[in-house]
Amino acid sequence: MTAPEAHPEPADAELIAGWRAGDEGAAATLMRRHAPPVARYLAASGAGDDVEDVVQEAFFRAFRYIDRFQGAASFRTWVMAIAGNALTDLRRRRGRRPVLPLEDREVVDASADPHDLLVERDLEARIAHAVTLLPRMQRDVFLLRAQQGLSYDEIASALETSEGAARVHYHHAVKRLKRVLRD
Amino acid sequence: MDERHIERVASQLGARAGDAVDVDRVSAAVLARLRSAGGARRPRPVSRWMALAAGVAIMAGAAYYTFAVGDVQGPPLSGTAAPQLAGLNSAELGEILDSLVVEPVTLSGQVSLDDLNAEQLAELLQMMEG
Repeated sequence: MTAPEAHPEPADAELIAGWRAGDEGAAATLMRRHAPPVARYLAASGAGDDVEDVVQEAFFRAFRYIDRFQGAASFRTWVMAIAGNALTDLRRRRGRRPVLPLEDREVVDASADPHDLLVERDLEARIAHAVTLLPRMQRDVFLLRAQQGLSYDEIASALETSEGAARVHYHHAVKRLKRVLRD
Repeated sequence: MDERHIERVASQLGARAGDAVDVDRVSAAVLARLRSAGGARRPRPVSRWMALAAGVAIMAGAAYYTFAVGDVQGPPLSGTAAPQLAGLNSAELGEILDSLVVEPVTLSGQVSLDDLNAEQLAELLQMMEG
């Protein structure tokens, strides 16, 4: 008896080609794959209760204008850049300030010392708040690097800047975060 | 607090939101909107004349850039971000300066950041970095 043949998940490029040909299932698979990290990115950017709405808007724009995706950055990174723009648009329309992602304070490590846990939670809350105060470009570069683990090269492609500029934005973001945390 | 510690904490930000997002609901809503919008938008074909005009504009811009900015030899840069600044163009330096200041920068009441060349922008950035 032979083992059932494994069906590897299709690559993003295949799914994008599928959507371009009108396959809704391909678009749904891409959303299933990439919506959670995009939501994380938006929450850390201060989207608050609007995370899901902005995720939706970002994917709508991405699939509607899929021909603008050239593949210089990964699909996920491209959608994150779109999500950042969608969040900025929403804030501009509503005149809203960034919202501190409170739920991140609730992450609990049961094995940790209670005092250390309190200190760590306080630090998380302060960093979360400080990140939402960063200028747009610094915040985007910082989160794409520190939260999403992207290379400067990929960040530069997604944000339509150079690798050198992305490094400088990151440098200033960290410098500003350190200053805010020190005060 | 060091950079590594900040990065470690930052890597966990938004974790709950990532878990909480209802992917099926998002997917259904996006596909419904796309259906009513007519699916993916097809790019409009660019006419030959439009392509030619765009090519001329790019060449003119490149020539202006080479003449006005490209041959500037600034002093050697120093400081924490200095080695990285050296390779950036005027637009990128302006973008970084914009992100460092809260209010739009206007110098001497008449000159704005847009009026500065790459060398002047790099110097200003160094001054601001301290």
